[in-house]
Amino acid sequence: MKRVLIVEDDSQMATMLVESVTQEGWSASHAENGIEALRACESEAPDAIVMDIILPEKEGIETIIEIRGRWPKLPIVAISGGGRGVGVDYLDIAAKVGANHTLAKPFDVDDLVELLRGYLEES
Amino acid sequence: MRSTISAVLQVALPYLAFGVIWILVSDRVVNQMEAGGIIDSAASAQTVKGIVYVVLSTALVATLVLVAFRAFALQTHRLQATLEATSAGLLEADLRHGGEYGSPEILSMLGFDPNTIGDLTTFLRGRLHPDDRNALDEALSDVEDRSRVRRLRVLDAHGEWRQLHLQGGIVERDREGKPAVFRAVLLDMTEIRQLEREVRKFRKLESLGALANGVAHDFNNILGSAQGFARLVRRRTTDELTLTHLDGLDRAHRRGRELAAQIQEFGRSGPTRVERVELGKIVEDTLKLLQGSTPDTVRLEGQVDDDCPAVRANASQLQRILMNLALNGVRSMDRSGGVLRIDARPLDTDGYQAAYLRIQDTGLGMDAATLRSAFEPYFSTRGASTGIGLGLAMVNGIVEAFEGQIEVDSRVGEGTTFSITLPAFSNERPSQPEPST
Repeated sequence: MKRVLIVEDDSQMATMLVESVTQEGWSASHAENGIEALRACESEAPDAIVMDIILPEKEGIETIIEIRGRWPKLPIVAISGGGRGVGVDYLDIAAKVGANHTLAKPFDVDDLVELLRGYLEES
Repeated sequence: MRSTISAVLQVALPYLAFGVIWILVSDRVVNQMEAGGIIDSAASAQTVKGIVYVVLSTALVATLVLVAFRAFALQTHRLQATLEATSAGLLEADLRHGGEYGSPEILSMLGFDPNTIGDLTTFLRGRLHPDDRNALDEALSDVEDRSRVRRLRVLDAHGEWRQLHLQGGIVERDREGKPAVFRAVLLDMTEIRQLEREVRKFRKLESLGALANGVAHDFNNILGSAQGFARLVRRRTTDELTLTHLDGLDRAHRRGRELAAQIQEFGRSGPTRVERVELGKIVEDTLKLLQGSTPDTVRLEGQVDDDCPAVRANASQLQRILMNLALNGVRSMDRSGGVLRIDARPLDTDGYQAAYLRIQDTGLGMDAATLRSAFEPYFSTRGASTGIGLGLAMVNGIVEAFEGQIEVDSRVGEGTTFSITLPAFSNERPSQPEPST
């Protein structure tokens, strides 16, 4: 069974994403921050990652850079509801540091599922 | 007084010393000259003594005076250079005899010709802000605190308030201890005050922008998860009524989405770099962008005068407000059709250059009540399903941030015209009167 790691600090959002992924017949695990995400990458070897950017501990951007360094081919979809600062597009930065695709919240979950399907069928 | 005495002594003492030395040695010198055959009689010896004395003492005094004068000139020059370099002015008043001195810098900092004004204190008093008159009087009588800085607002030659700092007080008293001489330095702080105001405004906008972004971020998370859950329900149900209710939920999501997007837009409209912006290109780009979302019944027109000055603004923000206003216009002509026209021309008010930008439509127009609330946040004429009402509030905020003005004129059934005045890039930074301190 294909494994998707959901990295998201908002618990409602995380529950919804885990549920949506599970309904597609994939297994889903959840990490609340970048540190947990890296640990999960080691222990669970996911086939794709859905990564929120603004996280309480170890930001998404930093985590993407680290994952790219260690797992160059692991597909990452970065999601964000916009930055807290002014004039910074975090999704732009995420794409530059190696996210395969970006989605701005609130996005259509169908779009996310289709993206994941593409990555998971490739792998 | 003390410096005058010492200057006199500096010349007088060496002169006296030379006189004494000459009395002591002149006999011997003349004797030597007789012995050497340079002079030959007692009578001419007296003449020689006198001539040598006059020549040497004159040369000595001339040298001493010259040295003292050069030292004095150097000191004066240094003081003058300091005043010029710091644009500081010196103000001095003799309180016993009523004389006064003001360095020319005081008048030049106010934009007046120093040669045309006679009585400086009276002149200054006449142009002083009414609330600051006490501050000047206090300084003129303050014996205690010479280091205190007093803020004075003075009306300059262009009719604008300049912020001066006056530091000084009574520097000399008479024998009875009464104030005798007042001396103070005047500094022009207008530009520094202006910069401080800009920094404060920038910080305020920055924190507002950060707040808006934070709210939008949380909002997007909530909307995203709600929308996702609704999708999960939709996949599990075939019940007609549940599906109808889910459609209602979707409509609510769309509204929430638009609101979050507008809040985010508002957050982005915070502080931005102010640059030189040519209106021709902006208007052209806006019209191009509009073409895609304009029905065939609406004609788009644009005209920017060749002599229209470049403005002090930000290109992408200006584009955003033009798009916002133009789209409003196009929407109001959805059914009727009409003309949307954007034009720009130069505006010159007493040498102050500006650009006058108009966005006109021939659509529905607004009544007086709507017009009054048009720029208020969260006010919208469109139904609750599409309008959020942050658009015009944002436009207003951006225009104000560029120190421009926006006006709206509208008639029901005839159309609406938005007029924006933006300062030209070539202007000096406009300084505004500070309301109060």
